[in-house]
Parts: sequence; structure tokens; C-alpha cells
Amino acid sequence: MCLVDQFLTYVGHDWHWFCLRTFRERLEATYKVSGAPESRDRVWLCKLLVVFAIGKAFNGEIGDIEISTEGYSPPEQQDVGVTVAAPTESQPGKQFFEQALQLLKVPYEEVQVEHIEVLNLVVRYPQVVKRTCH
Amino acid sequence: MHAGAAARISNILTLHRASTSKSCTPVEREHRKRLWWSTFCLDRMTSTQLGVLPSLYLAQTDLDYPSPSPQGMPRHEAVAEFSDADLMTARVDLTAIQDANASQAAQLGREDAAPGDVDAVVRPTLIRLLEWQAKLPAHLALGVGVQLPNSTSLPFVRSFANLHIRYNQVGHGVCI
Repeated sequence: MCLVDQFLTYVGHDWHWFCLRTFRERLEATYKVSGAPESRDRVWLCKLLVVFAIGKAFNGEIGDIEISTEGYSPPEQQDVGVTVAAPTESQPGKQFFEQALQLLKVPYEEVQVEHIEVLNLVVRYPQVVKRTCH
Repeated sequence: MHAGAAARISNILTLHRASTSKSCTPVEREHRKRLWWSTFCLDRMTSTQLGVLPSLYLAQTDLDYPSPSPQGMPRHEAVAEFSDADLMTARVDLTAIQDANASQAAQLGREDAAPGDVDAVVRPTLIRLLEWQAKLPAHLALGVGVQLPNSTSLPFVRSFANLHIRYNQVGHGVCI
């Protein structure tokens, strides 16, 4: 939530990235609802990771939280694996961003509005890093 | 590359046409509209930074500006899902001014360009910038003594500051 708040504070209202309340609701479902569709939605997770990356670019102190999308876990286990790594990045948010790019696959025959949301965020991250790290 | 992809998908989905969102819910309609405007601005920013042609053009859209009270949407829903419409409209207008200036300024590089052409390009842009500033809604106007707004919303204060920084950047870019 801290990284999302960072994102919203610094760039969240400069342009329209996504619907704000809808984003919050999906974020909450991802972490709090076992078996939530969000935890297996590739495009959503990509979007979330880029938001984390941009948020972290404005706050480089926090260690990474890795979101696992490998397979589906039984309901008694978390669908979204969460591990915390020590902060080792030269570019804040780089690991989040790289994870997001691994998930990013745009099926041009079945494009959706959400793909545009993700791509706009992907465009923004390097611009933010350039401004905050130089 | 990603900015180009976003613009291409926008065109595939014809977000630039208001008619393609007619059957959407009010939230979806406003979301699609604002997303196109954001994609347009990011496309402009990226193309300027990289020195490449933009992918989206003002002339291709019939969309209205972001609306603070979209038709059919309760006010509380608009406030919950979307940020300040006037602020985003102001940013779009700045992008449009910068874009027009860039197009005209490119003509100054011609071999047959006359010294007086500089004034013909710079003066209208400066006038447009002053008009932009004059028509800002009260809550977006920069107070006397360059004061930030008295708001508890950090995102709004930050975006307010970004808006006026952007205004000065555009003006500075015109005068260089």
C-alpha cells in the first residue's frame, strides 16, 4: 500500500492511469481474498508491478516484494507468493519493473483497454527513474 | 516502443471516437476518454524526448475533455474513480500548445526561413500560454506570492505543482 500511495502522490493524478477506486479494490482482493481472479490475472499483475516500480522510484529504501505467478496453489495456501528481498538495486524499482516486463505479453488480436493502461505505466517508469536518479 | 504500442492499441480500439463508447457504462466511457487523452500526452512527451514522429494527433479525435461530472454518473462515483478533471484538461491543453509550437518551430529550420519568422512562431505560442493561464479555474490558479493550494490531498498538491512546473517548462522551451 505504501508504494501505491507513493505512486498516487507523485504521479497518480498527473494523467489518468486507471480508475482509482477499481484499482484499490483489485489490490485489496489480490492480497486479502484467497483464490481471487486478480492473483492469476497476468495483465493486472503486470500493472500492479509497474505501479510498485514507479512508487519505489520515489522511495528507494524498501526491499522488494516478489509476486509469484508460478502455477495455482490450493485454497489453503496463498495464491500470490510473497517474499521480501534485501534492497540491492541501483535503480529503485528495477526488479519490480523487470518482473512486470516478463509478464507483459500483448495479444494484438485480442487487445483490451487494460493493455493501454499497462503500456502507459511502462512508458512512465524510465522517465521517473531518469528524473529521480540523475 | 511501448508508447507506440499504447497508441496503436488505442487506434485499434478506436478510443479516439466518442461513438465507440456509446454502449459503455458512464464510468467506462469516461475511463476510455481519459485514457486516450493520457495516451496522447504520453505519446507527445515520448516523441519529443526521442525526436520521433508522434503516433496520435489532435485532429483524429472528437472526444470532449475530461469531465468533472460525466453524464449518468453519480458525483460520488466520479470523485472515487477519477482525479480532478480540470487539472487533466489543463495538462492536455498545455500538451496541445507545446505540440503546435513544435510543429511551427520546425519550420524555422528551413533554408528560406526569414528572421521575422521566429517572432511569428514564438509570439502566438506565448499568447496561448497566457490565455491558458488566464482561463484556469480558481482552484488551479497559482496564488499571489506563488502559493500552493491549501489542500489536504497530497496527490492534488503534487499534481498542481507539476502542472505549473510544466507550464514554465513549455514557456521556457518556446523562448530558447
